[in-house]
Order: sequence, then C-alpha cells, then structure tokens
Amino acid sequence: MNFTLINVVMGAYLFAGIGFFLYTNFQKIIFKSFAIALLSIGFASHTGFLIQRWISAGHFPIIGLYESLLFFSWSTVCVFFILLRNFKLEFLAMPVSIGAALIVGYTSILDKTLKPLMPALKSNWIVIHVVSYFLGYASVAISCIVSIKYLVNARKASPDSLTALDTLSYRLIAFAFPFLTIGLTTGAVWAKTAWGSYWSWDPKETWALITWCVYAAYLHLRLLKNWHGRRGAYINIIGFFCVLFTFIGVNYLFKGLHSYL
Amino acid sequence: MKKSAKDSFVRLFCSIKFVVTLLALIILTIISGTLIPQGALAQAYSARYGERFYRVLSFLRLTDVYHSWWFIGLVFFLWLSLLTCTLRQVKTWKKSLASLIAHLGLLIIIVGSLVTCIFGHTGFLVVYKGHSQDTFITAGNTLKPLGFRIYLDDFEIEWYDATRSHIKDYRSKAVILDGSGRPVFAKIIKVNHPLSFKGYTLCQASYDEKHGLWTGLQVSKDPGVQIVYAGFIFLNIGVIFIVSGKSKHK
Repeated sequence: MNFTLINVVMGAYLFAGIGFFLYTNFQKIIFKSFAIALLSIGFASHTGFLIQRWISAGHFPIIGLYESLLFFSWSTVCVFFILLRNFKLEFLAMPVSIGAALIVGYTSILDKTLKPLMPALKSNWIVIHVVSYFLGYASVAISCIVSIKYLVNARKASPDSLTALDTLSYRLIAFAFPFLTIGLTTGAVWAKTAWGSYWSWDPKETWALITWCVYAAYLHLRLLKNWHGRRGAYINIIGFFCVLFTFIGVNYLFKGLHSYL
Repeated sequence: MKKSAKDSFVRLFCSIKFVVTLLALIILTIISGTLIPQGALAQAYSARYGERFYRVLSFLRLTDVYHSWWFIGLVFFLWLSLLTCTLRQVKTWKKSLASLIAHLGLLIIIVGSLVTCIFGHTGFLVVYKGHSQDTFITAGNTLKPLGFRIYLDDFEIEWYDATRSHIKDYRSKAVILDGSGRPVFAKIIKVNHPLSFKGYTLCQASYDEKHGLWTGLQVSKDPGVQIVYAGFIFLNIGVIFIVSGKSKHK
C-alpha cells in the first residue's frame, strides 16, 4: 500500500488549521481562502486514500482501529463541509482541521496491515450501520465542541452570539439523531442474522442504547421544556461522553461480541 | 370526579419530567447490567462479591436485571406514558405526523421485545458430521425438541490464503429431514447466513477446534422479531421526517 496520499492529508489539514488560526487573529481574507483551499485538498486526498484502501482491501475500509479513525476523521470533515453551506461555522474551522490532522497523525503509529474480513463482518449491513454511526458521531463531536465553547463564553459573550452557539449545537444533534437511530436499528437487524437474536445486552449494544436515550432526552427537554443554554449544553456533553464510552471505552473494559477494534 | 382522575393520570404520564425520570431510572438499571455480570453461576458471584453481597444482588434481581420484574415494570410504565402522550398527540396529528409515527414505532418495538421476552427462546445444539440432531439445549440447561431433524453432511473451514492465517468462513453443510427421515432441503450455514425453518433460526456459532468433527449452532425462536422490525421502520421514517421538517422552519 502506498501511504503518500495520507501524508498529504495530514499536512493539508494541519496547514489549513494554521491558516484558520491566522485568519481569526489577523482577519485577512487571504488566510481564510488559503485555509479552505487546503482543507478541500486534504478532504479530496482523504477521500482518495479511502477509495484506494477500499480497492486494495476488497471491503469497505472501516475494520480495525486504523481504518475506523481514518474514517471518523473523514466523516468529521465531511459533516463540517455539509454544514458549512447552511451555517456560520468559522470558529469551528480551526478545531475541526487541527483535530482531524491530529487523528490522522495518530493513525500513522497504528497497525496498518490489510486484514481480510472475519466471517461475522462479511455482511451488507456493515456499510449502512457503520457509515450512519460515523456521520452521527462526527456531528455530535462537533456539537460537543460548540457546547463547550458556549459554556466557556457564557459569562462574557453577547446574548446573540450565545444564542447562535446554542442553536447550532442543537441543530447538530438534530442532524445526528436519525443517523444514530439508523445505526442502532440496522445493528439490531444485523445481529439477528449474525448471532441469532436482535438484542443480547452486549455492552456495546447497551451503551449505544444509553447514548441514544440521552440524546432523545436532550431533544425532548429542549423542544418541550425549553432546556436551552447551560442545561442543554451539559446534557450534550454527557451525551458525547457516552459516545466516547460506547466507541472506545467499552472495548477496553468489557469482553463482548463487538471486539473487532 | 372520574374525569379529573383521568385528567391527572394523563397529566402525570405525559409530563416530560415523569418520562425523563423513568428514562433515567431505566438507563441506570441497564448500566448496572453492564457492570455486574449477568446470568452467571452462584459460585462466580460469591467469589467475586462475597456471599452476603451476592444475596443482596440476587434479592434485587441485579444478577439478571434485564429479565427482572421491576425492570420490565419500568419499561411497561415508559410504554404506558408513551402511549398516553401518543394518543393525546393523535388529536393534533396534522401538526406532527412524523413525531406520531416515530413514537408509534417505539411503542411497537417495546411490544415486540416483550413478545420476544415471553415467547422467544434461545439455545444451542451440537451436531456431528454424518449424524443428525433433533433437540437443543435451552439457556436454562434443559433439552427441548426442535420439531424437525437436522443432518450435518460436512463441516469445513474456508481460508483466505494457503498459509491459513485468516479464516474466511465456517461452513456447515446441513440437510433438514422430515419426520420419516426424508430430506426436505439442504443449506450451507455460514456466519451471517443462518438457516430458518419452522420458526427456528440456526446460526453458525462454534465448531470442534481439535478435530473438526462437529459444528455448534445457536438456536433461536422469536415470534417478536417481525413486530420489532416493523417498529424499526416506523421509528426511522418518523425520526428522519421530524428532523428534516424541523430544519425548514426553525
């Protein structure tokens, strides 16, 4: 396997992050255009690398920690681009680019060997299950950054900018929730054909359900009880902790059916 | 008087505080289930927690919490409050059809999972090459008849490469036999390709690692699964439309 493209990706994201940083500090539009161009080049190469990996592996490249993290960082940038069209996300550009660069950088020390698919993963459900989850996780990750920024700014910023942050974090959860739902339900259907029952209270399943319930509670409290602002932000951050625990923590703490990473 | 009792019931069960409290209790319960081993042997618990604490856990049903009466009770109350809210929503369904569909989906899923819980059962069977099997061992360690006979023609492991470093598939060549021993149909059972017959699903689960003489199949019979899948469809459609509708005007 040729890893040139992924090095291009890391460099492009890193310099895009620096460009966005310079833009926020000096407000020169040239920095911003430069950074967006770099982020686009990085994203195109990232897509190219995933396709290259897909072809040489012969399966959708989301097996093992290396491919999972590469796909997660790709999803984050992808969600960022989708949302960029509709929202003012400028303050997110730097954390997203630097975060993606760090994840891609971290993957360079991981085991990169192509492993053939183990029997349990040979299913058509894998693509929709994993892609939905990663798009969902990417947008809740961005939403969590927004909520943290909200809490940090809560004392000093103007009410208008706070409302904008609050609305944005909510919209990101609303965007993520259908993906989390599709991911959870397709996972159950897949489990039925692979393991014989659609639900076995495996730790991964259980924590995915908990995560789903937390975000469902967030949406209901917000829409019906006006839990805007601080309280919403706290639940949102709790939700993201559940995501991290489901995605990574469960694999280290429990032995379950989902031990593929 | 009667009407006000009904009103206060509806008000309580539809109050978001009540639903979220229930949800929080359910979440705490299922977290406990991931921390305490479920359905293990009494000796294992005593060794881990000590005899006295094990008795407390066992009394509180925390050793099989997902099937405990009080957990099912909590889920039932959640179902009841979902039902009450959904029925109240019906009056204004034009405003929130998508939300109605999503909540209907959840109600159906809970009904389906209850059907699974009561009428479904799982177990395990082992069948040797060239032999047949018509019973399986249930999760509670009793023998149960399948209602048909399964014959194992062959079991083989398929490898990705000649060096045999990665397994591609476990293949159990099975033949279903009727009451008089005549073959009904044949199928190769692989992981992700179970055999379904007379309401039973047989999944490739294990094999004889030493000699490759037998295959182990996970047996399940679950009349709730179609109900749950129907609920999944409603839930997904509902959730997608709620969110795409919201982004338009808010």
